[in-house]
Amino acid sequence: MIRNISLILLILASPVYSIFAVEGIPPEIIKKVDSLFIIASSGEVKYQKMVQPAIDSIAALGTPAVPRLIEKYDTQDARERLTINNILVKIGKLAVPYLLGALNLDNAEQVSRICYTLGEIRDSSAVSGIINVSDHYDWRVRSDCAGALGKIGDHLGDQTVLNLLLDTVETVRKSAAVSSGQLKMISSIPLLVYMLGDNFYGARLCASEALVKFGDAAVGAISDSLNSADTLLGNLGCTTLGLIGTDSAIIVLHAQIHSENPMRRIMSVEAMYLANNPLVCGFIELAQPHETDSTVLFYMNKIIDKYDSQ
Amino acid sequence: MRCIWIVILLSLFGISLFAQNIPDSVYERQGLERLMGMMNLKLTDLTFRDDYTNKDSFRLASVANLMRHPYGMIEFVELYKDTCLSLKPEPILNFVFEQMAKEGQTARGMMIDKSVGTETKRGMDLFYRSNEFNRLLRKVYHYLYNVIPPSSDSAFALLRPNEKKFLINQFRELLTEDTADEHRTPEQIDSIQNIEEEYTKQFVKFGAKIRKDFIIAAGMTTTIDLFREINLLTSDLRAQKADISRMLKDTVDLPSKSGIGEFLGRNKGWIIGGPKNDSYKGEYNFIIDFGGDDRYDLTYNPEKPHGTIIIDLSGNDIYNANSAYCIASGCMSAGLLFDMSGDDIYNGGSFSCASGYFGFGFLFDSSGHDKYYGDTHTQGAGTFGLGVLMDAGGNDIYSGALYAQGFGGPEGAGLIVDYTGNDSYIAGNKYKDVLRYEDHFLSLSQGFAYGFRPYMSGGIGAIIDFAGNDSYLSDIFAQGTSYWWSLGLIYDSGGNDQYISYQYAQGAATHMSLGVLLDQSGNDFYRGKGLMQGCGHDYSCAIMLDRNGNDIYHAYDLSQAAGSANGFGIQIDDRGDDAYYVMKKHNTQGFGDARRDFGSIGLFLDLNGTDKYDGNGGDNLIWKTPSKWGGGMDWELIKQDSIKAKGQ
Repeated sequence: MIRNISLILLILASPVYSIFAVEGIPPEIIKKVDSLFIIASSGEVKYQKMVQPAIDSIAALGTPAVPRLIEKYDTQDARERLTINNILVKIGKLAVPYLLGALNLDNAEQVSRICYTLGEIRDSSAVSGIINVSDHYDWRVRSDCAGALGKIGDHLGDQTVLNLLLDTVETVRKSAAVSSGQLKMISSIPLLVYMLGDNFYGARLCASEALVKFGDAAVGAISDSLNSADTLLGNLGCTTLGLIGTDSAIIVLHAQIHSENPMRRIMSVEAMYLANNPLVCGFIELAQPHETDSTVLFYMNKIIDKYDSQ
Repeated sequence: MRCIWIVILLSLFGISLFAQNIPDSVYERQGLERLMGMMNLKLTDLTFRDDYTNKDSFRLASVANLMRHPYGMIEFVELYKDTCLSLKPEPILNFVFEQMAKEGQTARGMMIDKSVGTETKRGMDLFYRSNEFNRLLRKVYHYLYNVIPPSSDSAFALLRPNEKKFLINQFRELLTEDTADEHRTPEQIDSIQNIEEEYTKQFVKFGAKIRKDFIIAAGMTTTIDLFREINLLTSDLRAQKADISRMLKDTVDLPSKSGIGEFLGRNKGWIIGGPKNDSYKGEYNFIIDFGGDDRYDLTYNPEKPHGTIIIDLSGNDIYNANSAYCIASGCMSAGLLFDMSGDDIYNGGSFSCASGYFGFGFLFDSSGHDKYYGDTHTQGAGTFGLGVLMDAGGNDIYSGALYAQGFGGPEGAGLIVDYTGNDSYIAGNKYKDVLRYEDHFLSLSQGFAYGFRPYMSGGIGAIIDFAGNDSYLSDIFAQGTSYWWSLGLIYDSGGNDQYISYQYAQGAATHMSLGVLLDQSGNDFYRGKGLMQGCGHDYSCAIMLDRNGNDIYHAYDLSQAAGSANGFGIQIDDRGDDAYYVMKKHNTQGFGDARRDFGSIGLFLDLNGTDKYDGNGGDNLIWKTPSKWGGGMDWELIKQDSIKAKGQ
C-alpha cells in the first residue's frame, strides 16, 4: 500500500505528469498527428501502401505525439485503436512515462488499452504503475494488467498475477494464467491445476498451456488432480501430461488408459499420441487387445502407426 | 419358436420406431458434445459475456439470450420455420414481434384505436351497396384513420419535431451508400465517417424514446384482419357469390354537388379500380384493383407519414417506386400490399417492398412468377421496424443492392418467407466494398442483420424458403450472416440449392453477433472465398448446418468451421456423401485462431456418408488442427437404419 502511495506521489511529482496534465498539446502537433492519422488508420485497400509510411511518420515525431495519441485512445473504432497501439509500440520506451501518467484516466476502456500497449512495449519500468491499477473496478483493465505483466516478464509482478488468477471474472483469470506461464512462476502451479476445471474454456486451456511450460515440475500436481470429481479437469490433466511428454508424465498417464470411463481412456491415449515419447508403445501394445471402444482404438492405432517405423 | 420370431419382429419394429423418433438435433448435439469432449471443451463453453463493451439500450432480448447460448440458434431457426409453415401472416408476425422485444423490456406497446367509444365507430355514408365490399372498405378506413395514425403518433410522441426530422434525413444517411465513395480520398472518406459517427451519437441520445411497438402492432393487426377479409372476398369472387362488375356499379346516387359528406370508398387518396388494365400514378392511401394487368407509379412523402394499403386481386402487375418509401413500405407509418395473383414485377428502389423503417411494411404475393427489384433496405427489411415479405408461389427473382432480402437493422426485423418455386436471390453489384476490395461489392443482405458498432445493437434478418431449387448469389456479407449484436439466418427446406458468395457468408458472424444457415435437404452446393461456411469472428458464433443430401463445399480460407478472434465457427453435415474442398489447410475445417492471448473454437462435424476431403478432414477420421482450438470428426454417428427411417 505504502509502495503504491509513494509511486502515485512519484508520478504526480514527475515533470512528465505535469506536462501531460497541465500544459496543452501544441496545436501544430495536433494538426500534424491528426492529419497523418487519417492515412495511418485508413482501412481502404487502395490506400494500403500509404498506411505504414504514415505510421512511421507519426512514430518519428516521438514523445510530442504521445499525448495526442493517448487522447485518441478513447476511439470506438477498432482499426484506429490498433493503429494507435502500433504507433506507441514503435515509439517504445519513450512513450512509457506518458502512458503511465494516463493510467488514472476516468475512461476504463482507455486505461485498459494503455495497459495493453505498456505490455506490448515490454519495458519493466512500467510494472509498478501497472500493478497499481490491477485492482481496477473494470475487469477489462484487470485483464490487460495481467496480460501486460506477463509480457513484460518482470518478477515484480508475480504476486499481482497470482492474485489475478483468482479473479471473479474469467477473462482476467485467463490473462493471469497466460502470464503465469510467461513468468514461469512455480508458485502458480497449484492454482493453474485448479484452473484446469475452470468453467471458462479460455482459462482452462490457457492454464494447461502454462503448465506445459513447467514440464516435470507440474506433473505431481496434475497427477494428484486426475481423480477429481470433475472429470473434465482430469481429462484436461491427461492432455496436459501428454503435451509435457516426459517419462514421468507418461507413467502417470499409463494408469488412465485403464479407466472405466471411455472418454478418459480416449483422452489419455490421445495424450500419449501427443507425447512424442516412444515409452508409450509398450503401454499401448499391452492395452490394445482389451480395448473395445472404437474411438480409443482409433487413437491406439494412430500411436502404433506413428511408431511403426521405429 | 413362433414366439421368438414375434419378439424379433417386435424388436425390429421398436428399433425402427425409435430411429424415427430421434430428431436430427439429438445426433448433432451428441456429435458436438463428443467432439468437444475430445477437445477438452463442453457445450456450455459456447457462450459470450455481454460486457466486452458498454451495453447500449437497443439490444434485442432474443439476440442477447442467444449470445449466452449460441448453439440454441438451431432450435431458434427450427421454431422460426415451424411458425412460418402455415400460409398465414398471423403466427409469423406474432412470432417476429415477440423476438423484437428489447432486453429488459417488460411491457410491449399495443396499437392505439382512437375510434373506441367515439362517433366514428358507429357509422358512415356508404357509396357501394355490396355488404361484402363495404365490410372490407370499412376495415380499411378504420385502420387507415383510426388505428395507424394514433399508433404512429404514440410511437414518436416523445420525440421533438427536429428529432422526428432526423429520422428521415440524417439517420437515413447511415443506411445508404454512395457509389461515388469509391473515388473519394482518405480525407473525404474520413470526413464522411466522422459525420456519420456524429449522427449516430446524436441519435443514440434520443433513440430510446422511440416506441416502435405501437406502429408495428398497428400494422400487424391491420395485416391480419385485412388478410382474412381479402381471402373471404376472393373466395366469394371465385365461388361466384359476388360479381365484380355488379359490385362496382351498384352504388348510391350522389347529389350533383358532392363533397358535402364523406362517402366510404370515395375518400381522398383512395382509388377503386375495375377488372381492366389500370394505371395509378402518385401518392395514395388506399388502392383496390379487381383485375387486369395494372401499372402502379407510386410516390410517398416522408414529411407527411400516412398508412398505405394496396390490394390487387389479379393480373400481371408492375409496381414502380418513383420515390423512396413506396410499395409495402412503412416509413414512420405502415404500408401494406396484397397481390393475390399474377406474374408481377416490383421495381422498388430504396426502402421498398416490405420495408419497415421506423414503421411496418408488409407484402403478400399469393402466386405467380414474380420479380422483385430494389436498391437499399428492401425486400423484407426492418430498422426500428418490421418488414415482412411473403411469397406463396412461383419461381421468383429477388434482386437488391444493400440491406435487402431479410435484413434486420437496429431494433428491426426483416423477413422473406417464400413457400414454393425455384427462386433466385441476388444481392450486391452496386456499392463497392472500398474498405476491403477494389473489385467486390457490399451485399449486407439475404438473412443478414446489422448493428452500428459500438453504439446500437442490431436486429434479426431472415429468409425462410420452403421448396424449390434456389440460388443465393451475393458478394460481401450475406446468407445467414451478421454484424454487431444481431442475428442473421437462412432456413432452406428443400431442393438442390446453390449458395455463392465471396466473403462473410453462409453461416458467418462478425463482432459479437450470430449467424446461421440451415439447409434441410437436397444436394446443395456452397462456394466462396473466406470467412464463411461456419465462421465466427470476434466474439461471434456462426453455424452452418446441412442435414441431408450429397453436398459440395468450396472455400479458399478461414472457412468450414473456423473460429476467428475468439469467435466460434461450427459446421455440421448430418447425412449424404459430401465433398469438402479448401485451398488453405492452416485455417479451415476445424480451426481456432489465437487472439487476445487465447483461442477461438472451430468445430467440424460430419455424421454420416462416404465423404471426400481436400483439407484437414477425412472420412471416418477424428482430427485436431494445430490451432487454438479446432478440430473435426467424421464419424458414423447416424446409423443406416435412421437414414432409412428419414426416407433418404
